Amino acid sequence: MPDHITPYDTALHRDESAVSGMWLFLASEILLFGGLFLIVLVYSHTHAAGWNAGVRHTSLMIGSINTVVLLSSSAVFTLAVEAARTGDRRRIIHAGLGAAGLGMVFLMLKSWEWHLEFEEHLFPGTNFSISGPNDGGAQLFYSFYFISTALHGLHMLVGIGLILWICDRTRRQTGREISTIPVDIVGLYWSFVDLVWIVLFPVLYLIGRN
Amino acid sequence: MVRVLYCWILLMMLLAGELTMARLGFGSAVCACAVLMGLVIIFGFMRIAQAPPLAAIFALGGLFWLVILLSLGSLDSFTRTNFAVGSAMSSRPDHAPALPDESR
Repeated sequence: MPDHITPYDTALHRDESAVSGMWLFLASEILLFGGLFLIVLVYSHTHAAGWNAGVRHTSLMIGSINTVVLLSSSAVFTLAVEAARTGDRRRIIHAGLGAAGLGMVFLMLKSWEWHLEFEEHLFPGTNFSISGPNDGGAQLFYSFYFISTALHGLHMLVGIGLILWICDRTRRQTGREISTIPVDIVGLYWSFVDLVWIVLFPVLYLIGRN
Repeated sequence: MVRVLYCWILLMMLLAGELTMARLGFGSAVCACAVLMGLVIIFGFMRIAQAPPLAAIFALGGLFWLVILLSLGSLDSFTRTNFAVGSAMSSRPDHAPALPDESR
């Protein structure tokens, strides 16, 4: 048995285990974000007026642009996954850098949005700008907003780091056969980050706005 | 490449639909668009249909426990009849019954 597949029976067994392991990790991530979505389910119902007041204060323009950017980034990295399957080293690096670049654009826009929200005193606390009978619900919404976008942003930073590692790894392995599994695994993670945003976007910007 | 392009176009169309439905105030249609976008990503980008059977079991397991978490976690606030959840923190919903001390 060759050393590089130990302790697996075959290379296929090793690759399938890696992909299945990544899906198991993503299942645990679903439960991490699930706790946050439980907050939405409960408080958007029990504090509907204040929650919706919070939704109306988010920037729909920046949120929508960020959604297009992140969906495009995920699509571009899927091209890198396809390139790995055909052994096209150059396309993996180009697509990877494109996806990481779009990810950085997302984070910059999100930072700008946070900056605007801090300036408008929308961070929960004593100086919170939404006042009146619904300020408690609005503060709950913005607590959720800042926690969820920070957690999502952290996942994006990890994803961008992994994509850059894939690009560097591919560049260094010139002349050797391309291993598709690391590209596949990072692709799964990057699409998952996209998937989380697909759920966060309507919750933070759309439902309750009108 | 063509498959990825089709998926991206479909996602953009669903996003446009989601924004339109939000403008019209159809919250459930917004949720439906988000679910469809999620399915496009899972089947188009993550290729769950081509993944090993064990991966599909893990994905379904994650979904199952998410449903358990959300349903059991929200059961209390959706089924209470005596007093509203967290009424001291914010305004109480219109349909909530009066607090015990208010009824005196």
